[in-house]
Formats: sequence, structure tokens, C-alpha cells
Amino acid sequence: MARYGFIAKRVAGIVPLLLGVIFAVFALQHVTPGDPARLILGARASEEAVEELRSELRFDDPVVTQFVRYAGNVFQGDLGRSLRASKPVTSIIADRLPVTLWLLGAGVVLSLLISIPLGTLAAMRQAGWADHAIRGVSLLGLTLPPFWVGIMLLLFLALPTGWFPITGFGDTFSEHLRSITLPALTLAISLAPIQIRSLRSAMIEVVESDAVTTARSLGIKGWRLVSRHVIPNAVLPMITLLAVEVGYMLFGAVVVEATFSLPGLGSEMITAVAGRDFAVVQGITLVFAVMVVAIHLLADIALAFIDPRVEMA
Amino acid sequence: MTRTRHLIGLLLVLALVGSACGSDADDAGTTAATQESTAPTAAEPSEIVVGCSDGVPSWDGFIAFENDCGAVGIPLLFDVVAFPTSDLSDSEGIAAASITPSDDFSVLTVSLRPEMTFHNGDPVTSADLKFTLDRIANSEAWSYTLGGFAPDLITQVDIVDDLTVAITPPSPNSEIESLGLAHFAVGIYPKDFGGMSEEDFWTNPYGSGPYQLVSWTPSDEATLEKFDGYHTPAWQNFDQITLKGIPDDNARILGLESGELDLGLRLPTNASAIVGSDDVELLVGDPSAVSELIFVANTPPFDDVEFRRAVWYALNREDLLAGAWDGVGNLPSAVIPSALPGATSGSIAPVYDLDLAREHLAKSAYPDGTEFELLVVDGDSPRQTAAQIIQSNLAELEINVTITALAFAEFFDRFTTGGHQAVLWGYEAVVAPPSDIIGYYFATAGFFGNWDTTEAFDHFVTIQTTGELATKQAAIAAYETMMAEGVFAIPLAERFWVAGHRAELSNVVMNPTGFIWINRATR
Amino acid sequence: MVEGRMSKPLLIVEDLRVEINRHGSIVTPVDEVSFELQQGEILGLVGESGSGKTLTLKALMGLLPPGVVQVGGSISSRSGDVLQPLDPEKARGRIMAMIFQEPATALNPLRRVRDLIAEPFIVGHGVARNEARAKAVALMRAVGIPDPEQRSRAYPHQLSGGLRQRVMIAMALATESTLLLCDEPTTALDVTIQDQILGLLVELKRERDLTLVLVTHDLAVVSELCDRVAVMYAGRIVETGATADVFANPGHPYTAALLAAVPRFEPGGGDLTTIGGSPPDLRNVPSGCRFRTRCQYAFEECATAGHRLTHVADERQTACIHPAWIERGVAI
Repeated sequence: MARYGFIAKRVAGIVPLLLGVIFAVFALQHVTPGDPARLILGARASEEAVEELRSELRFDDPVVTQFVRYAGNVFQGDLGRSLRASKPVTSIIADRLPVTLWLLGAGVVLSLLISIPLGTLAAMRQAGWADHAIRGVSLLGLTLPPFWVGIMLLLFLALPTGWFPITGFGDTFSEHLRSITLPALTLAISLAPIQIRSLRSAMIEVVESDAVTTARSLGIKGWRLVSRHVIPNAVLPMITLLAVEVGYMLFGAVVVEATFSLPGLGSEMITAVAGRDFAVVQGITLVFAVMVVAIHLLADIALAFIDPRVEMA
Repeated sequence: MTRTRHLIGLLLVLALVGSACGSDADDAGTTAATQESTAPTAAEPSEIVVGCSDGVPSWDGFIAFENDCGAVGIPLLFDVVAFPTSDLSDSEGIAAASITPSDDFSVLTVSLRPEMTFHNGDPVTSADLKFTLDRIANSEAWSYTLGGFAPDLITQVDIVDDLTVAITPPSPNSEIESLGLAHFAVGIYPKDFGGMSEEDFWTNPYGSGPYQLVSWTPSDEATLEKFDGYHTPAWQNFDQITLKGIPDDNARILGLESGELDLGLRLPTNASAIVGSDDVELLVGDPSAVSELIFVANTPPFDDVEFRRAVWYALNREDLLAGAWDGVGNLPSAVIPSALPGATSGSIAPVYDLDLAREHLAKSAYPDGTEFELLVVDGDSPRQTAAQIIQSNLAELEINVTITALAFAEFFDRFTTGGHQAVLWGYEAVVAPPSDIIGYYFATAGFFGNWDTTEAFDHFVTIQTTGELATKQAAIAAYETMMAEGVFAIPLAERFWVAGHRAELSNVVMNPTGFIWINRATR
Repeated sequence: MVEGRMSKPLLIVEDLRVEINRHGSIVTPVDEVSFELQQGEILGLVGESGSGKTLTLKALMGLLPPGVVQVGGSISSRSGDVLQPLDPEKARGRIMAMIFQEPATALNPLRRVRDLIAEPFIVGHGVARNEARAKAVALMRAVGIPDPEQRSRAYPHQLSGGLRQRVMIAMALATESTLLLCDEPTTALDVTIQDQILGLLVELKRERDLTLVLVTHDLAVVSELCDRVAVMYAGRIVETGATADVFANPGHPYTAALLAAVPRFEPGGGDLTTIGGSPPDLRNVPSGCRFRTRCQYAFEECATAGHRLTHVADERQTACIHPAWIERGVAI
């Protein structure tokens, strides 16, 4: 019961944060230098046209009124309408959010599949050649720009084998899976190095910790020692790291989506910014911000469930 | 407007590995073999997938004209009135059966083909054309994005009969046909948007073009299928056309090589070095874009003609082309890119002569050199490199150039309001320019900051309102002379478009602006 | 050395040497350490911090921290009537277990107490999980944890320090080892709890016929509990013997100094004596006897003498070569 109370409390705790996020997104168009209507219509638009748009979008109302209206609309699920595609922003986001979630989900899973074995190996063979090799490779992974990695994967994996499509997301589940593999791998390659480093140092810390020494003193060894005593304690910082990485992941998703022509939120963000489609930019920014908040919340809750030391009062 | 293209280093690497990989693939025989054995028959449904640098953001030509998917896609959905021929020398009627100017060029009569219908079965009438033209004439907000497309050239549109309208310009104008009608954005919409609100119409638009919309994810992918009621079945060589937005240049090339794409638009100019497969054929256009050093000619130091001449001779165009544009392009031979109508090829020769430059500088008001600020768009890496080369070229004359990289919006703002000394920008044809009065295009596009302070303005105003050929040619000549004097702008390098298609496609013709009639290619 | 003993030694440690190689400079925190452990006794290992007591225990357990290596010496254990080399990897959790100083950090925070205690049963003795949990609860009762049923479901952080140390002891007992190496088991606890834990250890020792090594710097504890004592200084054992003998009659000036430094709460209040100087820097130990720089009885030969424990009496050994101390073997 304490757990449900805890979750409810944490969820309630992010409401002010969400309001802040909505305010920040709302403020985007007011802190951007220049007249927002002018920004939308372009420098050569006539004064009358700008005036018309101003009154249409009610930019002349007091800022507070505008914010209340905006927040009210957001809570009712109305994020405005794309000026270019003429579609509701929510429908554009609904089209594209699944792609980004696929990418992030598969990217995180792949990055963990890479980083957990490598991080563990590096920690277990501390200062050995495997450790040095893993550290070298992960440093390389950190320095390679994702778009370059993406093109290389397309060039050397997708093109010769024909296993993976060069572009697009496909229509069926299996097509999605094939389409997302290389983008997710690209994302994973940019995420894994930090995870490997963090996991390695967490592992080393845990391996040398009193608790593990105690377990060893009792004759516990091998996989049982690693799985019951080392990994659970070492993944706690990983959960926090993943939550911290989420902003970086979204940035990576923008680049990766463009490289692999995935119709996700990131590529839409790029075209919306280029096309000055303000409602779309705002809507996607809001979704990204909510994703960051939600993932931190999930990480908090997950930590509370895994680590009994976290007070669930 | 030039899109930021690529990182030079990446492409150098890619050029190497690309060719290596291509030969590997050939050796291993892994490239998808063309299935010659099953000869395609006319009855077989045929599809084509087109990759552009962006998807269709909107089917409204006012919005999507700068998008390559939009430019090739909109004329598929909406039948255009007329369109330039592939060499841009003339235009041909598409929906129009005839376009006839009156003898004094005061009225233009447009007759539509008979018995055309929209995709929903409604007939296409002169009322629909009037509605379309009126919408253009009244859309001030978008006039600049149409790059000189001429809303203010239409004063009035009158319905003559069911299929005929009469267009009246503000004053007699010989250019109205090419200016106003031979543009893909003049696709015919149903009158009053078919009774829908404008927003609803653009959410799920229909027209009378050769293809109708099946599905569309804005800025990503659009699928169109053949419209059975189209007037010229010869222009419907595919049953289905898919337009895919593929922002990464290299991914478009790889998509072509893998066979995922049949046609790739806006490839990087050095694509020939990257393409590793014999299954892909490249279309390399003639120069239709020029990068320029553009400045304000009525404020110091560029108000001094001797100073401008000194700069003219001090710039090493060969270094610029090699350093900033990977050597892909041409030395500028005209202000108007040489492939476009109106270009007077060879009228200006880029001379690099430091002694001559010093002579002119000595005669100027700044014999010991001076300084100015050069604006570039942040992230426009070729031009940012060009700026550095210019900086070092002019340092030879003790002219100190401060390079300021600005976000596009701020850059454009300062550029168009004259709040600058000099910028690196250029002219790039994204649509067919209206005939040979390219100067009009320049002028209304507002490329030259406070251009109205110069004498060229008067010429352009004359052209715009009268369209008289003699005046027009005089204006171009004056313009060329002034360019040679270094007024407005100094051309730096000419650029061209590249597209590619699978070898099994034929009749793929690209005009210098990069436009391809997709539906007229054959498999 | 073995002849003439009443009981047979359970463990023989000879010339144990442990090194730390830090950036090329070698430090020897445990050097030439030899001792015997008799079945059923409590051996006290005393000395100042840094004298090598804890590392000696960890070397026996094969649990030296990374970068710390046993470079010499032999450890033998008795199995039946045969003495054989001890493999710590195999001995851990079978014939010997260790009780650590810090119960707060020594227990895996993510596992319930009953699973912590049950694990040695499962790992070492192949007991099924539910049975092991039941045994764990029984052990908790045996080590004096009140309300063990309920507490078995607690996590370590929910228990007090004393209870945690009892859990630690229960875990060690769960291995069914007969040799318990206790590394300052009460240092981290409240004074009132300390006696209870020590009492528990003695009681368990008696009930289960255990052999204990008790590392401590508390001489009062040693005198109260230990059968024999080994005094360590700067990585070496300088004196061993029956606790009563050694305390009554120190055979090494360092032992004497240690005893003198113990605060005594006697009527009239004696002065608190401390040992002059500080323990030597292990990177730069004095030649010969390592205590000589602080020893008021040091003479020339002390600087050249090798380290050797010499019998001064039955079961009494000292490393001091000073004639007076060897002859007298008595307190100052």
C-alpha cells in the first residue's frame, strides 16, 4: 500500500513541474526575438497580413490571459494546428511519437545489451587488456558523430546484405523491427560508452565493497556472486544514469531520425523549425519535456522499488 | 535558398569507401540483379519511389514550393495551368488548352481543356481557375516565398465562359504568361475549396492532376495513385508514386543503390564520386545557382567604386571553388547562372590580379585598407569556409574582414532590412525562372538589401509594370554592367543540381532548376 | 615447534608476507608473521591501527583487497590428523568465516535478512531455499535476535547496529565453519552493545566448539576473553603467549608500552600513559627491530638484529633481543 501511496505522491509532485514546462514552452514564442506573427509569416509579409495573424492568434491579449488559454488548451489535448500541414499538432505527434518511442526503446535495450556485458567484463578484468580494449572502443564510440556511424552502418551493413532498409519505418511489426535495428544501434553506440564507463566504475566499487567481501567470505562465488550481489548494486546508478541520459537520447534521436529518414518527432522537429511551424515546434518541445519528466519519475519509482533503503513514506 | 549540404570530411571519406564498397558489392554479386527475364508488360502495375531531401510539408504551393518533394509532388496532385519546357526557353500548356495574349498585352486569355474533372468527379471550370488565381493575387503574405511569382501582376480575373478566363495585369505586360502561370504553384484548386474550410481542404486535398492522394504523413511520405479520369494518359506512366523525405544526402544515394528508391532528387554535387553501382544513373544539370558576395553599395566602404573594384580583383575564385565547394562547380561567368534564360554567358570574367587590386585600392578612399563585417549563415559550412578564404584574400590588401555567423532568421532579417555591410548569399533557382526577365525575379526576391537606392531599381520597376522587351533587355544589360563594376554583388562560384535514377528508368529529364516530371518517365 | 604441545594446532601460519605495490614503491604491511592456532582457543591479535592485524586475517581468508598481494609464507590447516596447505578459496564458508568490523556496510542492502543468512546454507550445503530460510530464523534466534520471524523479513538498514552484527554472526554460523575470524567485531558499536556481542561470541564458541581469532585494539577485551594473545607491531608479531602471562609479564617493550597506555580506572586515578612517538611509516621502516626508534631500552644491536621470535618460556615467544627482557621476561 505504501508503494501506491508513494507513486501517487510522486506523480502529484510533478504537476507543478509540468506547469512549469508548459509555461516554458508557451514562453518560447515570447522570448524568441521579434514579433511572433512576423516570425511565422516571414520578413516580407505585409503589415496587414501580420496584423491579421496577430489578432487571429490573439497575440495582443495580456500574456497571462494567453498563458491561461494555452495551458487550458494543452490540458484539453489541443496543441494547436500546424500552419503548414494544416493538421492538428496532436495528430502529427500521434503519427510520429510511436516511431520515436520505438527508436528510444530499442536504442536503450541495445545499449544495455552492449554496455552490461562490456562494463562487467571491463570491471572484472580491471586494468587487463580487455578493460583497455573496451575503454578504447567506448572512447571511440563517444567521439564518433551518430550521423557518421549511421551512414557507415547503412554503407557496410544495410547495402551489402540487404537485411535492413536504408530509409523509412515500414508498415508491419516485422518491418518496424528491421527498420529500427540500425537506427537503434546507432543510438546505442552513442549511449553505450557512458553507460559502460559508469557501469565499470560502479561494478569496481561494488566488487570492492564490504558487502561483496562479506559474501565472498561466506563462500559465495562465481555467477551467483555477480548476479545476486554485484549487479543489483551496480545497476542502481545505471537507472539514474539512464534518466539523466534521456535528454541526450532525444538529441541523438533527432540526428538519427534524420540520418535514417525515420518519420519520428525528431525529424519533424527539424522540418518544423526550418518551416517556422511554431505550433508544431511547441508541441514537440512539450512532448520531449514531458518525456524527460516522465522518465525521471519512472526512474525514481523504479529505484524506490529496487532499493529498500529509499523511504516510501 | 541553399540547403546546408554536408560535411566535407565525411564526403571525402565516403567518396573513398563508397567506391571501394561498390566494387566489393559487384564482386560478391550481392547487388540486386535487375530482373530482365520477366519483361514488364503494360498491364503490370508499376510503382515508383522518389526520394527527396524533405517530404511534402503541405500541398499548398505557397508553403511547399521550396521543398523538392513539394515541387515535384504538387503538379501531380493539382493540374498546373502551364509549365516551362525542360530547357526553360518556353512553356507548354498542361491544363490550359490555349494561352493567348491580346495584341497590346493588356489581357491574357486562358482556355482550359474541355471535360476535365477533379478527383471527386466534379468538372473543372473557369470558376475554379478564377478562384485559384484570385487566391494567388490576394495572398500578399506569401508573395516573397514564391520568389517573385507575381500576385501583383494580376489586377483582375474575369470569367469569359465555362472554360475561359481573362486575366488583366496592372499594365500591358508581355511576360505575364511565364511569370504568372508557368509555375507549379498554380495548380488548380476546386472553387471555394470544394465547400470545405481551407484548413480541412489542405488536410486532405484533391485536385485534377494525373495522380490522387492515397496517404500522406506531412514532411515524411506521400503516396499517390493514378487518377483514371486524367486528360492525358501518356503523362501517367506509373500506377503509384511514392514521395519519400530522406534528409540525409548520402542516405538518398544509398537508397538508390539498394533499389529502395527509383529516383533521388537533390543529390550532393559530387555524387558521381560516391555512387558505386552501375544500376544508378546520374543527371547532372547545368549551373543554375550562383554564390555571391553581396553588399550595400551606398554605405562605406562599398560606396566607393574603386574599393569595389579592388575587392573584385582581390578575390581568388579558384581557391574559393576548391576550398569552399570541393571544386564541384564552375567559375562564375555571369551574374545569372549560365543555364538560366537571361544569362549572358561570359559577360564577366573573374579576374584575380592582386596588382590591379592594389592599384584600384590606392585610388580609393581607403588606400591603406579598411575593415568591414561579413555576415554568413551559421551552419552554412561551404559559405563559412568561403568567408574565411575571402578574409585571407582581402588581408593581402590590409582590408580586415570580420566574419559574423548568424542564425538564419537573424541573418535574413539584417540582410533584407539593409542592416549589414556585406553578406555571403546567392541566387539559386528552385523553380523555373519566369522567362528571360530574371532581373525581375532578383528584384522582387529582395536579394540586394537596400537595392532601391540604386539606379537598377528604375529599370526593374519599368519591367514589372510594362514588360516591354526593349526596356527589359536594357535593364539586363545595365544590370550586367553594374555587376561587372561590382555593384550589388560579386559572383564567386556557380553551382548545379544533381539527381539520380535507377538504370531501368528512362525518359528522366531534369531542367536546370532540378525539376523532374516524375510522371513522364518510363520504366 | 610442534612437539611438546598438549593439543594439536588447527592452523599454522608461517612467514606470512603481504605486499602493496603502489606505483613501483613496495610496502610490506604484513611481514614474517608466524603463529599457531589451537583447536578451541580464542587468540587475540592486538596492535595499533596499521599494524597489519586486519590484513593478516584477510590474507588467511584470501580476501586481500585489489593491489594487496600475499607474496610469501604458508598457511596450513589440520584436517583430522593431517596438516595440509590451506586453499582460502575452498576454505571460505566451509571451515572458516569472517566477521567484519562495520555491520552497516558489510551486509548487502538490497536483500532481506533471512535471504542473507540463508544463502550460506544454500550455497555451501545445498539446502533448499525454504528450509534454509527456516534455518536462518532459527539461527537468528540462536544469536539472540528478538522476534526473529518478523525481523527476518527486514532489510539490513532497518536494523540497529547491534542487530546487524548479530545477523553478520548468524551468516558466519550458517556456513557451519568452526573457525571464526573476527575483525574488530565491536568497534563500530555502542559501548553497551559491545559487551553483549562479545558475550554472544564466547557463548557461541562454547556451545559450538568454535575456534576464534579476535582482532582488536582493546586490551581489556583481550585479557577478559582470549586464551592467548599475539601482539603485532608494524606488520610483525613481536610477542605471543598465554594472555595472563603476557599481560602480567610482558616479554617485549612494545607490549609493556601498550599495557601502560591502557587507561585504568583505578581509585586514585593513575596517569594516562601514551607510547612516545608514532608507529613507523611502512614505506620507511627502521632496520632491525622496528620498535627501536620508540623504545627506551634500545641499544646498538637492535638496529642490526634480524626478526626472530624466541621462546622465553613455554608458549611464550618474544622478538626482543634485549638481554634484560629475555632474561627477566618480567614487567618493568
